[in-house]
Amino acid sequence: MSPPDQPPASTPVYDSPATGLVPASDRDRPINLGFEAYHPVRPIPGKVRGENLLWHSLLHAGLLDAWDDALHAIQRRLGRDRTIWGVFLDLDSGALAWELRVLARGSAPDIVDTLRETLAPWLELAPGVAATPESAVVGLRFDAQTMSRGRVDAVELHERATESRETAVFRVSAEARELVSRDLVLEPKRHIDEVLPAIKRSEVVNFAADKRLLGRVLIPELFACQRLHISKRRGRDALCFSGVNVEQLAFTYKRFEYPKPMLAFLTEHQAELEHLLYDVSVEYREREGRIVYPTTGFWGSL
Amino acid sequence: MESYKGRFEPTRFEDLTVTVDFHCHSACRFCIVQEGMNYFKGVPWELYTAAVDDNRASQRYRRVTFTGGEVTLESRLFDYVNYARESGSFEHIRLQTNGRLLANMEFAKKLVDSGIDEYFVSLHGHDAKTQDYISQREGSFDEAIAGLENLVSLGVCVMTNTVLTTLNQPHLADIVETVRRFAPTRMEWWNYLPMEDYTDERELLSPMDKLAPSLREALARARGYGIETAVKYVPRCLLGDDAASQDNTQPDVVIVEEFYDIYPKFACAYEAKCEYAESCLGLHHPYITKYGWEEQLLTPYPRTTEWDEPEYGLWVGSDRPGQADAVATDQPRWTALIDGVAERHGAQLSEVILQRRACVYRFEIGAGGRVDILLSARTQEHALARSASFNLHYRNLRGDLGDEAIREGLTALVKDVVNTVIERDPGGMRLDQRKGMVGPEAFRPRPKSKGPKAGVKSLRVLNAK
Repeated sequence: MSPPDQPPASTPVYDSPATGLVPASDRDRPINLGFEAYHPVRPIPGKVRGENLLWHSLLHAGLLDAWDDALHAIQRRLGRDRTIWGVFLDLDSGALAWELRVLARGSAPDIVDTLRETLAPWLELAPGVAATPESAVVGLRFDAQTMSRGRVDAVELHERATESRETAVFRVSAEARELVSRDLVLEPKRHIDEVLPAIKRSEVVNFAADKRLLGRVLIPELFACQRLHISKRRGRDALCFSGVNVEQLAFTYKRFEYPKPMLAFLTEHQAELEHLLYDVSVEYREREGRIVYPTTGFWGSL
Repeated sequence: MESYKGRFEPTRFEDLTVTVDFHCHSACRFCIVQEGMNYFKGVPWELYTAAVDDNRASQRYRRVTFTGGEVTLESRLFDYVNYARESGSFEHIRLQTNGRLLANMEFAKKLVDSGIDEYFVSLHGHDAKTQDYISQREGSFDEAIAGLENLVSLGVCVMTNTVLTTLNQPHLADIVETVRRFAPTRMEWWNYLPMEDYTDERELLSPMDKLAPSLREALARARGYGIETAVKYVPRCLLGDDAASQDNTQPDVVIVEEFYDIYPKFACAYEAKCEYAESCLGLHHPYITKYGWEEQLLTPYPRTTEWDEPEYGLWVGSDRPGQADAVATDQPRWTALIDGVAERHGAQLSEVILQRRACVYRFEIGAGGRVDILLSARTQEHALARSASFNLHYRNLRGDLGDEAIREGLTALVKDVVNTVIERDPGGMRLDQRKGMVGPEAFRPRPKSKGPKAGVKSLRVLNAK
């Protein structure tokens, strides 16, 4: 009984006078980072949509006014729960950054063109770039300066061969196309015989030198998830724990010391967000025998 | 989705543990209620007596265990014991103690005369030097040994409990040698749970490559002396010939609900591959964070059945006294609510999963059809239906739902189960005996001047002494 592909109708936003948050609805069809729809894990009444975490992160960064209209325009254009949003924390600088991911659908118009057209009133998106036929997903990253620049130079194209569990992610601009990540998606428990070697095949961590390091990257509190995305990137690896619950998301906030107002917001609304599953990513590399974490992030659906 | 390893709610439903109060005259270095004793109070008398009265009617618990803190310090202990004894509803009354005050024969005899027939005595060192260092109280070893001698002379059941840490890891077999003359009914070995000290700044967590060989030697030694053993929180695959001694069950503990918020969580890399994934917890999170997943050390027992993510957690056995290993549907009080329904639909009740907060009936019907009916405490939250005691939901519909016959069969089954529960539920049924028993009144005012120690997490828990 998988949920319908498309919600029957959109519902108004910011229509919860009690909290000012976007309420959840029976018509919500939340999706995970793999664009798989899932049933909410708790009853909907009294709950709010996961996108409130996105809006609050922008509010915290002082960027809500700048991005509110543009992101809602995408939501209106593509439909609810058709876009993935991500919020990332740079653990060195404390800066936040964001990502949108959109699933390209077969014969539909080029998704980059659709995004470009939708965002045109606010910024210019990757001029001259088109999604390739292999592009399953198109990613768009932005940070605190993006809107003032008025331009996003590149998009990320997630390309995966049919039936493959591996995805190659390319950052593509008019001038260049570079491989930025290779991702392998597995079930963490069922596929553990593949998971452990895949994590250990690393150019940035010498797991053989210290058996303890695996426990610092395959974080036990997040191990109970539905999918594990094992990523190899330039100068760093990453694990994305897909399908964790709100308690695990809160653990992530605390473990990686997310900004206090963000943690306070999540804590205040944790019970209202417990019906959803989230995707949490942790980038890592080894420095002087210790694991360091350049960035962490989490995703939900818009 | 979080597996039971991430939300383990241990119970075997047969034993009730009551925290009388939280004082102690030892200061064990591994104590997980060091902070908690500053603000924890025991179970209020009224709530305790209500639990006993309830058991008089339900006969749910065979045994009541009194603990603390060090429960022998509590003047009210005899009131608690007397009330339990006079209820006549418990087969055994157990005391969980460091044994020090039992060195006084007069006091030990008074305890025995009050009706306490089982003594669970902590012994964490094989000699005075080790034990006194761990307890930070000179003479504590000699007192405990004298207490054990007194108990043996009084002819009661004696058990020992040892918390496994770096401090005693080299001497576990020596502890067996120390206590063998008391012929304990059982020796329990509980791996240290660093609840106040996630990062193990106290350096008490023993790495498994050192702990497991020592423990195996101790277990073998005990076996040789005919002493039963039980091990908690050590992976089964590390226990060698004594793997069957692993027992991660726990009694119901009457304690503040927050206890379970910070109860340790566990994981094992080989959960999906191991035959004992449903009973072995693996390693706790602080251990994995400190020492890694031990993927080279752990050796899963090959599964003979397909692994499935245990959505509802560990099945906890029958609620009949002494039937913890009974079949998965042997929950008489709970199956009575739906007896006969499955048969009316050509279905089968394949499992009753009973936890503190939910009762799940799992039905199978036809080829591959399956549905779970979940009962949780009645609230005003959204529910498919409500009986007198419960909110009812259905979950995990499986089968070819495109097949009209299967879909209609499942629908009819769900409706019948729900209506039957509503019809038979007499009201007042509770999933969790403890629920609502202990509230804010169980806390002392917290001291204003003392913040948590560096590296110390908030603590509201009880473990072995």
